[in-house]
This record gives sequence, C-alpha cells and structure tokens, in this order.
Amino acid sequence: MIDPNITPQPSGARRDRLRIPPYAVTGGRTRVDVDIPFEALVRTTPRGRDHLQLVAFERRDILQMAETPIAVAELSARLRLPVGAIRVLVGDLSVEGHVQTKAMTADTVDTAILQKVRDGLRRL
Amino acid sequence: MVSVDSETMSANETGTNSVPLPVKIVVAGGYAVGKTTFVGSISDIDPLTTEAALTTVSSGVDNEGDATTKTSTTVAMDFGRVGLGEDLVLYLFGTPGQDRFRFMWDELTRGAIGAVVLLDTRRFEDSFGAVEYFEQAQVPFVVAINAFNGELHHSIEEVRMGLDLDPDVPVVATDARSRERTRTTLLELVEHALVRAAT
Repeated sequence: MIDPNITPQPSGARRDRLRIPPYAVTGGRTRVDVDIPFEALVRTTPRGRDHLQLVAFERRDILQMAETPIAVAELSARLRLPVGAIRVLVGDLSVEGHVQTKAMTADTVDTAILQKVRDGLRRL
Repeated sequence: MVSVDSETMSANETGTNSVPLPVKIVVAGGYAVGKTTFVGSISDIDPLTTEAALTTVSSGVDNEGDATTKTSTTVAMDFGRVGLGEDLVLYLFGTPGQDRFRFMWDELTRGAIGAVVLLDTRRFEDSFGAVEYFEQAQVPFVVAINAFNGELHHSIEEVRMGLDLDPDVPVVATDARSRERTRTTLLELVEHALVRAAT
C-alpha cells in the first residue's frame, strides 16, 4: 500500500543502517517496557560514563550522545532507529543506572509550567 | 500515570547541572499543509525525522487457514526543538492527520501542552479528524489557517462554522514560513491552555 503521508526515506546511510532489524538491536524484544515519552531527555550518568567500554553498539552510541541531554526522538533520528527501539534501549540503560531520563510525569501540564512556556515564547 | 523519571523531578528544579524539563506541542494537519515548515521556522535545529512502527493485526474472515494477517508500516514524524531558557525545552512534533495514525496521537498528546491544527482552507476535510480527536481527548488546541501567499480562501468565521468548533477554540491566521507568525500561533495555544487550566 502506498501512503502519501509516509516520507520517502533517503537511500544510502539510513537504508544501510536499517538492514539491522530493530529486534536484533533490542535483543528480540520490541515491546515497550518502560513508557518513555518521545520528548523525554536522556542524560548519561557518571556510572554510564564509567561503564562506556562495557557496553556496545547502539547502547554505547546512546551513552556517548547523551553526554549532553538529548531527547528520545532525537536519538531515534540521529541513530536512524525507530523510536520504539530507542525506548527499549534507553529503558534498559535507565534500569541499569547508565542514564537518567526526564519528562513530564502528569498527563496534563500544570499552570506554573504553562506560564514559564508562555514567558519563554514571549522572550524569543 | 507511570513516572518515567529516574531522577527526582519538580518544576522548580534548579542548578546548573540539571537537565531542562522537556515540554511538547503537537502540530497536526493534513498532507502537505505545512507542518514541517511550521516546525522548522522556529526550531533551533533543522527539523529531524523519527519513525514509529505501526502494526495492524486484522482478523481474516474469508480464509480459515489464515486467521489473522499482520501488516507493518512505519509512520514518519518531523520534529524540532526550541530552547526556552536554561530549564525548559519545547519540542514540536508534526504528525499526520489521518484517523489511522491515531495511535500516534494518543502517544503524543499525553503530557502535551496542546496542539496546533494547521489548516489549508482549500482542504477543510483534512482537518476534521484532528479537530474531532482533540475535542474528544480534551486536549487544548488552536486552529491555525496557513495562509499560503497571504491568501485566506475562507474567513475565520467560515472556518469556525465549517469545522463546527466550540466557541472557545481560537482560530488564527498564520504563515508557517514566518518565525514570528509561528511564535504568536504557539503563544495563542499556550494562552488558551492557561485559560483551560484555570477553569
């Protein structure tokens, strides 16, 4: 089925990368174990930095990229992996204490934060 | 709601070492209405594309030996990032408008400030699904008419009636190419969300 809403993917690097199926990257699991939002910011912990040589492939990529806080969606785009795969990997790294994640915990945004967003947009 | 934080979070968190709090706004609308342009006009980075898998399992009724068929496709979302000071970062997610991508909206609207429904007035029907979804999900939203070349093919009042909007839903004219118009459209949404939060 051809869908006009699905952005044509560039050939080359992305295609090569995606030859590794996501389930291989996540060790056979494609379910989302931890409910991490797309915008959640991921940051490598000191422990993650210490253990950098002990982890491999995409997990190491994530630890290196998350030296400065980076969103799950951004990791997905930059590592050319589906966002679901990134969630699983980040979930594991988080459980292991190699990264911290930060996101809104409530379903709705409270007034204090909305005011800060408004003020921030006004200053732009 | 399951907490996904692995560090102690609060809106008042301070300190140079702290990670900014990410917030998000969903930019919905039909195909080629200008979602990525809208995101890109204000984003600190060139819009990036991320993919999520869409898996559909359907029951077969006409073939006993093949009870279910499973089809898989991916949906691409473009997104951008706007730094709002040291402790806040706003993510803008552009998402396809069709009904069959609703699984994505559930995901994206959870914890979102709200949504901007971009509208091309020549193709009203492309926005029906999004408007209906955000109304039902009680997600604050504004309808932003993307006026290509400054042309509005319908008045704001006609749009309001055409989409059968509640009177409190803001309808604004915007220009996705303009950083300033995009910024004021986002402000309109945040102001609307504030009013909604107060009632």
